[in-house]
This record gives sequence, structure tokens and C-alpha cells, in this order.
Amino acid sequence: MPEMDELLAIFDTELKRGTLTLIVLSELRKPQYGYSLIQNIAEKQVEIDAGTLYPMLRRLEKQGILLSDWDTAESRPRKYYKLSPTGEMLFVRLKENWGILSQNMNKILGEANEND
Amino acid sequence: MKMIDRYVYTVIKRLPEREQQDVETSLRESIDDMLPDNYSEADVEKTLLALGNPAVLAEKYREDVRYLISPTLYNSYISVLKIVLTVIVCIAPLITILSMITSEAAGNERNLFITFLLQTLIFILEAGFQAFTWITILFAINDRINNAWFRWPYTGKAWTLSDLEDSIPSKKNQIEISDPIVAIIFTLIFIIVFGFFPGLIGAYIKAESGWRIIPMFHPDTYRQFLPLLLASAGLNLIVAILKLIYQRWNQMLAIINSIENILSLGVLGAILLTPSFFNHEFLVLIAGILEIDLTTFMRGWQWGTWGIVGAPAFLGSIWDSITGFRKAAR
Repeated sequence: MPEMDELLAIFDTELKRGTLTLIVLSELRKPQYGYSLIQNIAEKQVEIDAGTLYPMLRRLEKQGILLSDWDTAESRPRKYYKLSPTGEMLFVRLKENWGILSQNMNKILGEANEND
Repeated sequence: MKMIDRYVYTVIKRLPEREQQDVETSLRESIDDMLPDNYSEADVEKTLLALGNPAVLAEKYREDVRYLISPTLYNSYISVLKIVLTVIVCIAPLITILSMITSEAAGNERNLFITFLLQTLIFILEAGFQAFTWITILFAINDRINNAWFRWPYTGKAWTLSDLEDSIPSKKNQIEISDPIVAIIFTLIFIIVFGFFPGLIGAYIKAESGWRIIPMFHPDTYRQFLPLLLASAGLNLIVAILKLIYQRWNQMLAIINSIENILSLGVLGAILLTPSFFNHEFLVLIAGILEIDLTTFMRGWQWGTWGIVGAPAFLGSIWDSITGFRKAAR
């Protein structure tokens, strides 16, 4: 049997997988480049590593959820990402779903607390 | 920056060629994005460490299917492999013997056994690899076609309860997996011997230059019967494969099984009713050995073939057909 820490790590990763996408979509309602995105998310006490974020940005762009643009006004060009119209619609719907999900989860886990 | 090149190379070499260019551009942009202005060697190291193990990163960039055989088909794949390899191992000794008999170079008698073992092993390895390769290729293609029809027994439409099989295997209707496998082995042996080496079935007489074979069957008559024999054997194989798939008797299987039995009996009956099927020289020889005059021997031969081959085959086939229907009804 795996150690408790290993088990926790596996289930924790599964639990967070979807939320990370939602966080990124939420952040990208305003245009940002990759590194500022990492820093902004880190400020909110959420862990995200660069090795996960950059491939995710690329995939979301390929799926038409994000748009990217090069900003050449600064000292060096930066690739900025933001939500596409599809991405914006998707974000609104996902946010709704998340609301319902977290309400339900709180209710279920609240019951679990009472029973303890 | 050499370090960056080495890192990017390590990532993209793990990806399919057509994705490499694209991922490289994207990855270099990301690294650039993370580095501060006028960066130092230490900044590069920090950035690459933050991106983490290149192998793990490559997996995150990967888009295509990562398996040759998908988990859905894996179990069938393994069981088909096991069955085919078992069959190959079982028929290998026979193939070796046949090829040794028919090969021109008659080896030293003392080495005969070693030659036999070696050739059997070589055959198992060669045929095993062939089978492994082809089965793997077929399953891999099957996986990539992704046709709903191949997702047997489901047909791609919305799933309903009526798609469930009529009954599940139970003690009363199940087919032991060894039954069709043994059938396949014996049918293949039959096809190999009767299809390709019928001349080797006969009496072996010691002659001055080795052995002389007097074939049991008359070559011309035999050739006329061959298509029927092979058709019957082929149907036998199909029945065995269907048994492996269903692993229990059902109505359709019982019907096909009976058709196969009737066809085999018909072919056998036709052979036994055709006196010229057997080689005259062979019959004369046996009669001579037994010291019986040919007419008496021929009468005995007729009765013998019907009694020793015909009757048991008839009873066995009837019994097998009835068993199929009886078990299918359970």
C-alpha cells in the first residue's frame, strides 16, 4: 500500500487539475504575459509551476479559448494572452458550474462535519 | 545560450517529429518570457529548474495518443497473443518433423534429435515474432481507425439494455477455453498434413536409398476431395474462434456447430463411399503383409473404415451437435 503522503499527492493533483484551468481563464479576462500570470497566481496563494502553465496556455490557444498577441512597445517583445470570445463564454459558464459545484460540495462536506 | 539549447533539445526529442518545430518555438518563447532583461547564467539556470524535468514537460506538450494498444483493447490483445503463441508452440514439433522428412539433406542419425530440437526452437521464435508483430499491427490499426463497428459488440449507437448479451457464461452453458484451442491446434495439424503433405501419409518401406513411401491416398482422387477437406477444416476453425469469442453456447453457435458437423460427416461419408480414394498399391501392400487375399481384405477394409472411422465420427458429431443445442438452451 502506498504511503499516506503519496496517496494525498495523487488525489490532490486530481482535485486541482480542473481548478487550475479555471484560475487561468479568470486571470486572462485582462491580457497578460505568461510570467506575470505565474506571479499573479502565486500571489493568490495558489501553486502553479511554469512547466504546467506554459503548455496549458499553448493548448488553450490551440483550442481557440485564448488569443495571443505580441506587444512590441516595451524594451523587449512580450507575448500577451487573453480570452477569446469563445473563452469568455466558456469562462462565464464554468464559473456558474463552479458555483453550483462548490455549494453542493460545501453542503455534502458540511454534513460530513456534523456527523463527525 | 548553450544551456537553453540543450534543455529545449531534451524536451523536443521526446515528441513526434511533426510537433517538434512548433513546440520548440513555443518553449523558447516561454523561456524568454520567464527571463529578466539582461539575464545572467544564474537566471537561466533558475528558469530551467522552474520548468522542471524535460521528460515531464515533454509529456505536457504531447498531443497524440501515447499508447500502441489502448486500454479498451488491451485485454483482448493479450488473450489473442496467448492463444496464438500456444498454438504455435504446439504445432512447431510437427512442422519441424515434416520439414526434416521432406528436406533433401538427410542428417547424421545421431544429430537428428538435436537438429529437431534446434529447428523446433527456431520455428517457435520465428513464427512467434511474426505472430506478435502482425497481431500488434492489426490491433494498433484497429485502435486508430476508431470505427464504432470495431468496438465489438457495441455498434456506436446510444447504448441500451438490449445490447447486453442474452446470458452470461455459467457452469451449464460455458465452453472451456481449452476446448476451442485444442480444436484449433488439431485442425491446423490436419490442414498442414492433409493440405500440404498428403503424400507422406502412407506405408514406409525400407529401400536401398533410405525410405520409400507408398501413399495411402490415390493422388488424383485425393486432389478432387482436397477443396472439400479444406472447406470443412476452415469451417472448423471458424467455429473454434467463435467459441473463443463467446465462451458459452448460444443458438447461433449451436447451429453453425451443427452445420460444421454435418459438412464434416458428409465429406467423410463421400470419401468412404469412394473406393478409388485409397491408393491401390497401398491396399495391395497391406493385404500382402497381413497375408490375406485382396478380395477378402477389401471387404474387411470397407467394414473397417466404416466401423473404426465412420461410426465413431458419426456418433461423435451427433453428440457434439446435440450438446451444443442443449447447452444453448440453458
